[in-house]
Amino acid sequence: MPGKIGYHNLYVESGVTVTASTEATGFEKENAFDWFGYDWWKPTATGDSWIRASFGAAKDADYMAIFGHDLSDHGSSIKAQYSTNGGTSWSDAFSAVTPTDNNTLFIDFTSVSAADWRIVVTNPTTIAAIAGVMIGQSLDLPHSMEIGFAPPSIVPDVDLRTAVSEKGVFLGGSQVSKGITGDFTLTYIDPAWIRSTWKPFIDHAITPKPFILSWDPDNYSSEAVLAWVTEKPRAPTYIDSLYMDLHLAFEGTL
Amino acid sequence: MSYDTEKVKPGKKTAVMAGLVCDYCSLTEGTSPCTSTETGDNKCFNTRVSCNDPTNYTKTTKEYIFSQPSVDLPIGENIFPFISGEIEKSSTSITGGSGLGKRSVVRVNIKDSTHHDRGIDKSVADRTYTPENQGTFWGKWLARNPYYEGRTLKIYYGYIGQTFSWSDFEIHEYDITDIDGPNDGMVTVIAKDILVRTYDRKAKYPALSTGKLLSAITVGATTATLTPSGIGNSEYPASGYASIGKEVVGFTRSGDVLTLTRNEWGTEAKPHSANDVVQLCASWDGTNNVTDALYEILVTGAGIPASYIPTTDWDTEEALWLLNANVKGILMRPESIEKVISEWCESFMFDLHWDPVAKELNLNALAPEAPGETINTFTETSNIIKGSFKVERVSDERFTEVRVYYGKIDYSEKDELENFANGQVAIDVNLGSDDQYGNTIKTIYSRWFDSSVNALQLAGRTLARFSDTPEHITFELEQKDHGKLAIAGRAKINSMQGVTGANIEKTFQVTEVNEGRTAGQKFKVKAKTSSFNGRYIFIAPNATPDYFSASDNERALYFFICENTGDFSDGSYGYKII
Repeated sequence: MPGKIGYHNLYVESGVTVTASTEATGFEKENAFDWFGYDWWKPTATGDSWIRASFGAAKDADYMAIFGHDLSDHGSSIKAQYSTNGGTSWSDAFSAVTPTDNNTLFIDFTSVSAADWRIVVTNPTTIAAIAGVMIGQSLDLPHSMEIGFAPPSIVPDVDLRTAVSEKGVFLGGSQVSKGITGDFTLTYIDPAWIRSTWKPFIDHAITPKPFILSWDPDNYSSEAVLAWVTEKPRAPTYIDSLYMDLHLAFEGTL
Repeated sequence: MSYDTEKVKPGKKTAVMAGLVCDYCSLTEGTSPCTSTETGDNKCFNTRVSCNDPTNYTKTTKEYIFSQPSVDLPIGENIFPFISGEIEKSSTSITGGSGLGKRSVVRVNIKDSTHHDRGIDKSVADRTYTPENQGTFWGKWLARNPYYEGRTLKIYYGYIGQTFSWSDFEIHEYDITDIDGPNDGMVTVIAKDILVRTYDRKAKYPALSTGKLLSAITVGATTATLTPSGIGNSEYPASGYASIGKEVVGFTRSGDVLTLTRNEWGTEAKPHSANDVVQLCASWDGTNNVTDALYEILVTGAGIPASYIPTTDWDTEEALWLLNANVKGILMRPESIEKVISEWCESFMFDLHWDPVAKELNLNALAPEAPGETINTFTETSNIIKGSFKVERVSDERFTEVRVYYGKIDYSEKDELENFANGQVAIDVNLGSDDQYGNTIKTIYSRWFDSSVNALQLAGRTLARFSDTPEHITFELEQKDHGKLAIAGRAKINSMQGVTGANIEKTFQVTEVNEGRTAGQKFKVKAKTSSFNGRYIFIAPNATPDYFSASDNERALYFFICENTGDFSDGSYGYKII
């Protein structure tokens, strides 16, 4: 199935007011939408905690993502909610999920338009921290990944170092994690889509700011990664008079 | 889990981090006892340079931890993934009793970037500016923390286990000496081991005296008065030695009045003028063991915390190998502490080095194996990494004749041959013969003792240690072996050929252990031969059983002279020491 990219984020959109149920000292809510993976929002109490984005007018959203979290370690669950009455009542955008690992989480849902959005975390006994929260409209790639695409999460980048003795005996080994790297090419893309949809994403990516790539959310939703570009992406090129192709190389983390 | 548990795992995930521990005020601006009334952009950053109420500045510390971006960052820990490349570290090295050796140096390259100041600036919410739009992380950090020299750099060597734990890291501590940059978006933090505090620019001993002669004194004068008034009680002890010009005088003091004994320590009595400085000397009269003198000069002179000195270990080393190592000498005026320690290392044959993990200054005498000493063996099969073993024979370090000049005559003059009253020589005639190595001479001038016992021991032990060509070896070990050897400790290596070509086991003294750029994976060891020529043995202590009741280990370790009867119980004669 076609992949999705999450980069549009209501938490940083113009006109937003962000509030949180609570925030621990040094783990302020702003940390959750500054794009950095090394600082966190962390509430102060167990039970339900939330971080809310409020607008004066309704905003569309069809995905939620989080990265740099330890929900699994704490047995915590998460869901996105929206309110169309100024926060008096809330509806679930999708049923709460309890992650089984601490990897990047990308969940798409049926598009909803609402002026108030929030991510709700339920911490049963201990409190999880989250580096990044995102709710917004995903970029839907025009078609599935093509032959030759290597899902980046299957073989993460590691520096492997093994030691062998003078007599040839294996003495041990170690690894240094290098995150993930990957790239994909999509061919036969409508040039109008390149201009209307792909270019705004590239503008975001070369800021540079991270994004979420879920290469097949229907079949391999657990393989979403937090990614970023480290050099100027290759410009889409015409392959004939009707179509273009695009290419994106990225680094990132699970 | 623990560092030791993780390091032996074959698939360990290594991580190296660096922590800058800098001064930080524990108060909140405007909250008692802080009396500042500043607001907004004028509020402090909880550092001394930005403090608005220095009187109530309350110093604690704040640690800024940095990691490589590749590390699987533990969630919820405040770690900046800004380190660029690998952390470089050169090991501290010892000389084997010939001087102070080399300081360990650590270099960490850390990227600069914009930063939001959250977690750093306590008053970030009160600022009128947007921190990420104003300045960079390091630009701001250096302006807020200019007094970083001498503060602590922690290097965390360890592993990312299934669950992150700081107990999976071994922490090495150093003194920050420099922070260069930002240059091209990068700063370089440089740190050295704690003995950097003995460097000339950091400390000298004794402290500079500020008292002067109120009026001129003649060659024969036996009293003198200090000026300015009151300086006697504030700066000078009740008795001691002081130098005036090139003369050392002994004194007893009452207020600012000194009663003098002239021309001490071989110096010549001279007339002195009004306003000549009366410099308090540091002296040791031959009853102070070098370990005590070392403690004094490190703690009082260099300001090294007493907690860094493992006095129990030092006492053990003293009892075994340094019992006669008594210091007799004087420092007439402030001298480099590093230079003095280096001289003591050579005169009394010991090494001093910083253990960055235990946070202790270790003292090890130049000596053969102690009774019961456990020495780990490293083999080509199980330990030494392929292609890493290298040998260098250093002829310059071999001597067959050791000359020691001691008993300094005039302490105001230089340490030259004609200024020493005594000499002692030790010669290995056989090794120095033309049939063997040929003669080479080492000359030691020591201003730190006047006893022939010290001279004999210095000459004899140095000769025994260095009369064969020292072999310097270098090899690498996998991290599983980290902790099995230590600087100044010994290691048995089974990787060298004997005359038949078969591998033989040799004992080496470790001079360097260097994690370098491969921390957590493998480490490099430098060592040199630890053999002592000739036969030596320990006289058995009182509680040791008679020879025929002693264990094999006791028989191997100790020299049994005789039983109480004067003979052995099997009827054989007792030994005589002749």
